[in-house]
Amino acid sequence: MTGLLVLNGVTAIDGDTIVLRDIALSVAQGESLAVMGPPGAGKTALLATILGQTRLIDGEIDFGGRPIDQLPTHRVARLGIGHMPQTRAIFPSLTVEENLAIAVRRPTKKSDFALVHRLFPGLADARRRMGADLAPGERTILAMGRALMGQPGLLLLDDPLADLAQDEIAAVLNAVRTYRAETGGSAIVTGREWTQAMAGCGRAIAMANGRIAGTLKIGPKGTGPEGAEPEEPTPAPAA
Amino acid sequence: MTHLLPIAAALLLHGLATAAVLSLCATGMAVTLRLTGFPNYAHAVFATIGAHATILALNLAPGAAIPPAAAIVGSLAAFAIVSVLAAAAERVLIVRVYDATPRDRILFAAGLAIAAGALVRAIAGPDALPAPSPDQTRAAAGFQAPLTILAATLAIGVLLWLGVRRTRFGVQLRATLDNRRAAESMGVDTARVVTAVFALGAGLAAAGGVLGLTLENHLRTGILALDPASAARFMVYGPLAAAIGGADTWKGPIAGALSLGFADTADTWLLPGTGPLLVAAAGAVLLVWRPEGLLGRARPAARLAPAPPRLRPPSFRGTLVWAIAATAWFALDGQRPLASLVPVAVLFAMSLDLVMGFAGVATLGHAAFVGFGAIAASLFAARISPEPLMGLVAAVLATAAMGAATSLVAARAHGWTQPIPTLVLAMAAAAMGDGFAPPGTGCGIAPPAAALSGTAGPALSLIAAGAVWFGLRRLLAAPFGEALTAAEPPAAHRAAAWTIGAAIAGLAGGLLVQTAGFAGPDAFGPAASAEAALILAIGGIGRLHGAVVGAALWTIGLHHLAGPDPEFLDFWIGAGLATAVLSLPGGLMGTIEAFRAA
Repeated sequence: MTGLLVLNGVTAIDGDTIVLRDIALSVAQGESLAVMGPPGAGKTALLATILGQTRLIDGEIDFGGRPIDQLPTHRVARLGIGHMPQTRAIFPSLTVEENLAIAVRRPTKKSDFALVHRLFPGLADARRRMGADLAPGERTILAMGRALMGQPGLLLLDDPLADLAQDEIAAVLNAVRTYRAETGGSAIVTGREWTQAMAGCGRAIAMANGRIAGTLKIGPKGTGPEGAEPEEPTPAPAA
Repeated sequence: MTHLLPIAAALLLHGLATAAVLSLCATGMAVTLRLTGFPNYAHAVFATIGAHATILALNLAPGAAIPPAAAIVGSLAAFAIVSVLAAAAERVLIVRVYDATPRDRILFAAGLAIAAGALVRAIAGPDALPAPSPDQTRAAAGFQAPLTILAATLAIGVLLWLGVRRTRFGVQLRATLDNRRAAESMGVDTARVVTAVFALGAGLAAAGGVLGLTLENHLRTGILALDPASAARFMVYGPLAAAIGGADTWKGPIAGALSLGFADTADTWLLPGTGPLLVAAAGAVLLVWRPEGLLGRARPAARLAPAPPRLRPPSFRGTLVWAIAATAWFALDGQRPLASLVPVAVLFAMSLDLVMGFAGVATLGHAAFVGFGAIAASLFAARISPEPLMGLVAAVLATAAMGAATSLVAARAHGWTQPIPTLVLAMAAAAMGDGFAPPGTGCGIAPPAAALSGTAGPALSLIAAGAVWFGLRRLLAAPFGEALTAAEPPAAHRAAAWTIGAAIAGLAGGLLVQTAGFAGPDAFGPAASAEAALILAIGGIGRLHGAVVGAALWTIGLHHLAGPDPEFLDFWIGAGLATAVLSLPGGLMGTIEAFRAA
């Protein structure tokens, strides 16, 4: 398999628990991948493993043609991987501006702030507010903006639309669309089921119990796996 | 009235200056603790190192007073040199302990502190101190020296504040403190942040040590006094400043340093000659009341390591094996000095295992009860009756009462601060041992005559150790043991275990003074407690037979190798404890168990 990101036979543990089993997947340059599955299926663990935050006991991970599975997390991030964690992980003691500036994937440029402020004008207005004082929706917006800093080649978006109001959803969707259009970057988007954030994803995988349970092709309209032809029979989604 | 004002102003300044020096030590320790969970009890040793290095340099030009400007230049040099050394130590050594249990981190830190203190003492020696000349004292008695310290510390404080608030490194530091894992996924090299903070904190402590040198001489009878024991004392006061303020905040260490600084100033002016022990005791009481410190936010967990598995009651076969081993040991030669030293060490180690391994109280002062037991036994022999068995009963009763009186320490022990009150206890016992010194010897205590001579001592020690082993096995197998080894044992059970442990240690102390005919205060202080912890770390904590095996190996090994110079023994105890914690998790018994299971 070739591609921007390639996982080959990856099995990983977090503490004493096996969180991923024999994962093989590839994301090409400019491609986006939707990852669906019930809580505990391994979606978040997959993103953590790409970032080197779990312990790999088998398999390898390549990014941009070089192995990254032995690199410490901060080196992986600096290769150009933007992460929007499920918990959002906004730093409460940092201002909004510092929360953006902390992302040192590449030397931060003025243009990064310009892009994020253009996509989320609210962040420009709130730049001096502390992370601790933000509402949940604002945290999600900030986490999205932070993931875009440094123009990463790959975005890892963990359930990006959870807890958002309608206008915020529109802003996030617009940000993802703009990012893909302007930088040609790739993305992995997770969620319990198909969400609007996955629009534009060329493929979707379903996860269960730390394994890839099936792969789905997405119709050209990108409206979801309904009507698409599964390559493999998908298991019934576990409630 | 008018003549009181300058005194009040001088007191205020001295309190502030002492607090300034302490806050330089406490802040670095607290931030490292918040970043990594490593309570570096050895942190304030950097201050001692800075001060002693300066004294060595000053001795090249003897007789010169220490002008404030020289102190600032010296501080900068000490800052730079100690920072580099500390960064290397963190990367090579300390980084290995970040994944250990909190209890092992505490034991490792204590080992480092004791080893570092012994090294400083060995290198600098008691003669390296500048003779307190009246000229020096008078030169510094004005406001000049405290003002220099205050100005320098304020400048450092403003620089630090700006650094944390305004620089890229400050942003990375705050992000790492907030959420280390998330900071890493944003590309922050958090390991580098930790090393930089450790080096910075060490350098600041060293600079503080140098600044403290300029303080008026009589103040240096207080916390900041530089004598051969200063490193050991700094092991208590640096962490104490961070702890009583609350180490999980920025303001906490400063508040703690201010409290300690003023308490120390008041103590040295109002109650000259009492020494800093009174201040430490007040701090310990405060910590027992509020284990998280005055401004601390979260009260950490009580148990710092996983609870050990519950013991089974002693089997007939196991009892027989131990009885045969003890008889063989006695039969080998019941007259050797080792014949009773080993069972006494076994008693002491088992009592520490009950408190630390089973009840989960991380104590570094358990040897205090050996001291109280020895003192009680010799007082009983001198004043009431020379009958040795009665003396032992008196020792056990006295230490049990002492244990009960201090059992709040165990009942309320929480988080990384829990060894501090126990350290103060050990300092008190060592001071008491000095106070009870027989006339003419200058140190240590002794009964009027060696009460248990010949084979009686070893026989009695062996019987006592066997009986205590049997009793503890029964106790730990009973419902009491089940409650004690719960994830969070009830406070009453911890207090009871503490009291029982105290009584057993008191028995060991009584036996020690009766069989050896002498017990020095060295045997009651923090280093002796660390020696018992080392014995447990060698044998395996939370097993009871680990205490037996470790005590036998260590005591016999020490006796036969007799390599380490007794003056330098503390260094080997400290270094051994740190090494054993790192390289032998679970001790010998744990290694054997793991080997069997595999």
